[in-house]
Amino acid sequence: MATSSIYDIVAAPTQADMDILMAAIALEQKAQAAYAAGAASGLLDAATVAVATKIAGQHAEHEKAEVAVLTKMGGTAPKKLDKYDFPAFKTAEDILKYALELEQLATNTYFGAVKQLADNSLVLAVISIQNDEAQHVAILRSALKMDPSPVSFLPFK
Amino acid sequence: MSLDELAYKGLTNTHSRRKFLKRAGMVGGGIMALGIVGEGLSFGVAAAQTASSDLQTLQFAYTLENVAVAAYKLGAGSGLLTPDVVAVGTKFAGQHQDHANALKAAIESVKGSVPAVPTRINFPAFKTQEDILKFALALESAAVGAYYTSSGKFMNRDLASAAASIVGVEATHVAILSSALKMDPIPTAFVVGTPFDEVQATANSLLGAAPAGQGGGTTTTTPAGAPATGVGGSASNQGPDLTGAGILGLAAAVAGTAFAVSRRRLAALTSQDSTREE
Repeated sequence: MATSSIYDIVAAPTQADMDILMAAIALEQKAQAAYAAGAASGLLDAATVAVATKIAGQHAEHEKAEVAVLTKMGGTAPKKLDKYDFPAFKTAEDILKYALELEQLATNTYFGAVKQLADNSLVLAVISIQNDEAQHVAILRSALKMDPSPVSFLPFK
Repeated sequence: MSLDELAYKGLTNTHSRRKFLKRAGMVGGGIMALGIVGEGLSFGVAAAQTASSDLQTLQFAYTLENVAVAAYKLGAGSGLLTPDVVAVGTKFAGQHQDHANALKAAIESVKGSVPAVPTRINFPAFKTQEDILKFALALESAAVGAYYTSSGKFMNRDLASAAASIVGVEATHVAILSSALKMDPIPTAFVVGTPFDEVQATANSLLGAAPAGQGGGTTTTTPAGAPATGVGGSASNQGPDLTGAGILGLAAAVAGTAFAVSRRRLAALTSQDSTREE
């Protein structure tokens, strides 16, 4: 039977943990690119561009922190893609909805990682990032006139 | 072991010593089924090592959730809020009630005592909608801090995951209330909430308890019988590795001798743990 405890001590970095981090980094990179595309689209008003830019900056902070950890573990961070196949955005709402999908996915990914990570020293950091992504979800949902807090328990559905 | 002692103080190297001490606290835990259930989600904990400190954390969280429910109810009945804000507050109150129900179920599942729903809470005098929103924001930030800290304290990862599932929702409340107050809803990329010592201070002032280091008064004070509750006969069911663990209890956790015990036990657990070694 599994006895997963946050206080288990893992002697060496595991590939599984590094895979989780690499997936997270790729997601953070994609989010930054999405907000940059949104900001450059001409479809968003100035206030929304400002929020998008701020959120993108936080994703960059997450990425930086994760790359630092991954590198320390002996892993190599995935390269930023040159191009993402984002859908064709026609309206501000398209962009916000796409961003919302990414943020919900990010929140749920970090939430899942809380249970999956072998290295307990990563758990709290992951939760702090999960919380930030959840706040992005709340803001985007507000902007889309959707219920900003749709669930009592993560994950988002 | 007080909550104060358990408070997360950063992931430093010295933290590992505390980890061992906390781990040692687990020797009294034995195997108990523990689950947090909410919205159709079941955080069933297989073979949970439920430390008495975990139980205390759940009890403290339960009390905080009840305080939040009461606060939003008070706000809704104050006549100071616009209908929109009442609607949001009522929604948040419902989510806190969901959390409280899940925590209650978890506490009951380990035969812990469920703290009484606080009936006398020292809320400040509210004069405006802004007063209420600011208070709610402080309370939600405290909740984030409490769960965030708890996530690093639980002996059992499934409980950490359950705490994470709740704290993410409290974080959305923080963002929404900040927005309503025309404050930056996302001031930081790493959301950890209020530092835990401040959470305790807030709980103390609201609940009118308790000497320093025992935040939340009776809900977080170690009852005299608490260690024994978790010890029970269950420890002896775990097999020879844990024989004698039950008699160590919480007191041993803070004694130096517990180090060696917990190390041995840790090794035993790790070696039994095929899934984690994969």
